[in-house]
Amino acid sequence: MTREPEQQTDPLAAFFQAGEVPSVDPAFRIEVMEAVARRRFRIGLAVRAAVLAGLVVLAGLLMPVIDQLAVSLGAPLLELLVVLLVTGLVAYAGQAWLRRNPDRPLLRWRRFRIF
Amino acid sequence: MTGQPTDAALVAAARSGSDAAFARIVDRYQSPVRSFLRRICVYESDADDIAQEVFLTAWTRLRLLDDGRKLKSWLFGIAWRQSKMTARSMARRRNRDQAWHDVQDQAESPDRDMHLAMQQALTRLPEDQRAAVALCLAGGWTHADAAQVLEMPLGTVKSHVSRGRTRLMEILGVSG
Repeated sequence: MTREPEQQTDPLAAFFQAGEVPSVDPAFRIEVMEAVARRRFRIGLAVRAAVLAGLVVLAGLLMPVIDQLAVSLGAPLLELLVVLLVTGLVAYAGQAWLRRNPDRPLLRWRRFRIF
Repeated sequence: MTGQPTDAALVAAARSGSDAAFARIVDRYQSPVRSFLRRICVYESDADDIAQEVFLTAWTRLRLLDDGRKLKSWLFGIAWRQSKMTARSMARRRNRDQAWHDVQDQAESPDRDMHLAMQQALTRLPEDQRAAVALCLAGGWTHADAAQVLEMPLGTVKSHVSRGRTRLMEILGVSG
């Protein structure tokens, strides 16, 4: 994308030169990056809401199976299962907290071509 | 020796979530994109809003860019399409912004006078011709690159540039 030779002496050049925007305008960059942060937040919120809704629906669909499982496992094994599930959730939340970085979400949605 | 990172490297870093890389892309291309938009928008006050939207769109769609080396023409393509799309929605704000410009214009430099003369002359060209002139005459793009960005045949761009140049010289009273 080089300037073509015949345009270098263009008499209109001075007119165009007068309207050039400064090469770097920090205020403009800040505005853009703020808008990016807002969009990222909205996307994150939408993803979390969708995941939550999906989990609620899934839980509703699986409830009959869970009921049957609870009956067949009996009370001691069911308690153990609940303890394992809660421990897993706490461990996941702890890991997410320790590795929190808005630029690098724990779940890499790009891998799944979602975002 | 540490050189400037290439466009492809910045795109790759920005894609993997680096805000710093994207900020460098904004710094690198804000001036040419904003200058281009100021020339093709009938109302200059629309240009920076559209430029902001261009970079936001670029951030959202960065993963669709096949080749990071084509970043510049890709950004200008977004700018061109965005300017055509938003021209109507911006119309509502024009009266208010024009009032602000009238105040601004009273205390400006000779450079500003030349710039305003050029802006007014550019508004008298058809939209496509204005964009071709802004890229090739003001931005120094080759006709072929401009044709790619504007999605027009090469011959059309050449004709737009030639006619636009002649028309601008007539309007501005410049001889070449």
